[in-house]
Amino acid sequence: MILKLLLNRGLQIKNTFLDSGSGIKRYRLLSLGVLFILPVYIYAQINQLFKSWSVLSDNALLPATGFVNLSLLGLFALLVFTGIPLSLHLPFVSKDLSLLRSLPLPEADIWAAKFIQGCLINSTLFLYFGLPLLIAFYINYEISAWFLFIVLLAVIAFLALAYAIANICAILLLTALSAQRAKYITTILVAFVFVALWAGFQLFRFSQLDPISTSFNPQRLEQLAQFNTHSWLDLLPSHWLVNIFSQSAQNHPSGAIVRLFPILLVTIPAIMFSFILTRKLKTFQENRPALIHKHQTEKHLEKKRPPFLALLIKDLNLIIRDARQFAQSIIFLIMLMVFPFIIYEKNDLLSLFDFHAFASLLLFTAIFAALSTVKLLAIERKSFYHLKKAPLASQTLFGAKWFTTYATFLPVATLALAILSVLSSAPLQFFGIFFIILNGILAGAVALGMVVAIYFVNFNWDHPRNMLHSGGTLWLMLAIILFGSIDFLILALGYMTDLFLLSLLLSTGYAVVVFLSGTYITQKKLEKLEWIY
Amino acid sequence: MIKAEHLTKKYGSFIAVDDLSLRVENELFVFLGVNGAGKTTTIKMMNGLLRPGRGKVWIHGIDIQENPVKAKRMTGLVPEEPFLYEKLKTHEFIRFLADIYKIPPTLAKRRMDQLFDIFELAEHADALIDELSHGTRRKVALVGALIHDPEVLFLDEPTIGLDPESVRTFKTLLDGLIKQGKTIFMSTHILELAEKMCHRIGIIHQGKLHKVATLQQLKTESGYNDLENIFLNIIGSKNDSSLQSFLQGNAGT
Ligand SMILES: Nc1ncnc2c1ncn2[C@@H]1O[C@H](COP(=O)(O)OP(=O)(O)OP(=O)(O)O)[C@@H](O)[C@H]1O
Ligand SMILES: [Mg+2]
Repeated sequence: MILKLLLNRGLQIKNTFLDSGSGIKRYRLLSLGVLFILPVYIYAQINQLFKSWSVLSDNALLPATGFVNLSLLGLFALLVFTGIPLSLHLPFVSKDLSLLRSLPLPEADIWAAKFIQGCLINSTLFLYFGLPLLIAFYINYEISAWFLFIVLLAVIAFLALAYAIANICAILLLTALSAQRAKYITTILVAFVFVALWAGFQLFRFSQLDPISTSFNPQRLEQLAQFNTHSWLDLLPSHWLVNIFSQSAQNHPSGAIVRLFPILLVTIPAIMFSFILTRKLKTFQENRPALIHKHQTEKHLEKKRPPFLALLIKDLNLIIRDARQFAQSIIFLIMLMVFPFIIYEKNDLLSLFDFHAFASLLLFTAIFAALSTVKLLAIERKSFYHLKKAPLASQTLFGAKWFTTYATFLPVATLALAILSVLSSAPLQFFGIFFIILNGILAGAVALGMVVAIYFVNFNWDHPRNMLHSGGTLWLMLAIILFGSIDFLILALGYMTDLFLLSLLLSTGYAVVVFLSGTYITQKKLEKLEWIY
Repeated sequence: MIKAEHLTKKYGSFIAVDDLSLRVENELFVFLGVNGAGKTTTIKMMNGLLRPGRGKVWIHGIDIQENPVKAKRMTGLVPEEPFLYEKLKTHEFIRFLADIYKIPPTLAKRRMDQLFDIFELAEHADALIDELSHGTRRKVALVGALIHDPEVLFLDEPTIGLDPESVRTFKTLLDGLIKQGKTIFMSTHILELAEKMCHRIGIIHQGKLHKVATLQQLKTESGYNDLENIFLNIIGSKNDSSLQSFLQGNAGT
């Protein structure tokens, strides 16, 4: 039964990839291909690191296992984190539950199917970061193939344990919060964790560990080698996993098998415990007075709101109340703010090239803003017909969406620009000039976002969340990069020929043209768009 | 007033609505047809959600393709499956629609309170639409279609999921609206509702409008006394030998 439930799910996934329209299918497969680049890149980096360590000393296994240990520890924590919203969603919120519950299926089967499904989804993170690490480790330390079996078992247990712990945390949250609410909060928390990690990685210099690099710091490598010796590590599943790896690396099969036990001995009870807790939760919730919806006193503003404003308020509400959208917007905005700290360079801003940090900041702003605009159309989902039915000119519909992104990004980008100016001690007039350029680029990029959004809009009724598939995103990136490059080219030419003021004017005019044609195309397409389902 | 002329819609090579011409004015017009007959497609074209392949639609003399903004202001629509903004609260959603239709806030507030009262939605006013039951959502959609007091109301199977009390309220409401001079175009599968309420009936089959007449006319023409037989007669009742064999097979086990 469990298998059937999972196969059914697998079939749905297969259908979205293979049986959609051929255009969509191509894009989906393409985006899947793009997703492979990241793990390959990570693999290449780590592999190079391991290689250079083995050149450096005979006992390169120590820093390598330290590195693996530390990475797996972080990964384990991350897996628990990402597992929480997932284990709130799948068994408590997802839409197919009412169907599943109505079928003559044992409760335990539904639970198990959801658990396995969640565990698989959660483990994709491991494919990205854990697997490249392991492959690099295995290749560099020439571990014989049959250890793979033990390692595979251990990794599965490791992943299942992380998800089981996430499950238990989720259930604890549910004693105090409704599933919807808990999911919303934890999703946003996960987003914050990811941004923090990203920022951390940006500021930590990996080159310190790389003997080939000029900023190599042998002390750091020593610390890494010593990492395995901390005794508190014995309590951590990541360490148990690493023990198995190092045993296999030293070719000790019995040692590896013995070290398989602790992880198995903890994982199985943890899974069972989370099942028991789920059951207990049910009786707990049945005996608790229902979480009554608190009715605030209605404060209906008696003020008049023009349609433009009404559209704006609606969009903001939709974004803020949708954990995914909200988290994504926050991530974008925080990344923009962190960005100046990463890219600034202290130099005298003498030549044109010294401004490339500014240019990259603007380009990033443009890409983020355009991506957010695309989402702004996608959030309409099945309710899109309200806009189609509304007695409003398409300029108003377009304008409201455009303005929402523009108005949220402008202040944040301006702040980021100010930070960058201060960090690179640029004179005030530079800030002013880049502020003007920023406005043009932002206006054009958001308009381009609208164009792509409306052209790739795809009413996918089985997956309304995917109403806009990722192929559009790729085109959008290209369009923005092209748009930005031409703009910078105009400015650079003006700078070199001492006609900077003219080129600033030209660049603004160029942005206005892009904005206007984007507006025009979107409007026409919006009018033509049919509400088919 | 709704006027349609030679309305045609193709999906690929499949003709969903075929050369449909019709005029409806200050009455409750009921649109009948089997599943897939083309009712929803017709209603969508009349509301400017689909572009007709051929033909035109006028709402009070205004061509919906040529002057959509003006035409749409006069119509209200409850679609077959009213998807609402799930992350808005009920009152926020209605307020949103009122603003879109540029209803003065005080008037909007008064209408909203009245309609919420009528459909017993007041207790859900502050709940997210996400949390509402299926029937409650349909009521919200109905309120949304009425908030701007439209001259022409399109209802695509509006009574699905409504409880008996709400259906009664709904009928009274429709009667009242007709008396005010409004035009109502309703598709339904509930023949009893059609029999009791409508002025004229249109029967669509495989995209073609087969018949437009009052109930009385249909009765005298066909010789049947109930709409079910009249309807099945017009569309040509299908061969039910499979049904018989299925029932027999089941009885045998
Ligand atoms: N997007 C589409 N693509 C292809 N065919 C479609 C599409 N939408 C509708 N159709 C077809 O058009 C025909 C008419 O559909 P429509 O939704 O108008 O039927 P209906 O009379 O409303 O049926 P029901 O009583 O089931 O609601 C059906 O055969 C349907 O399969
Ligand atoms: Mg229909």
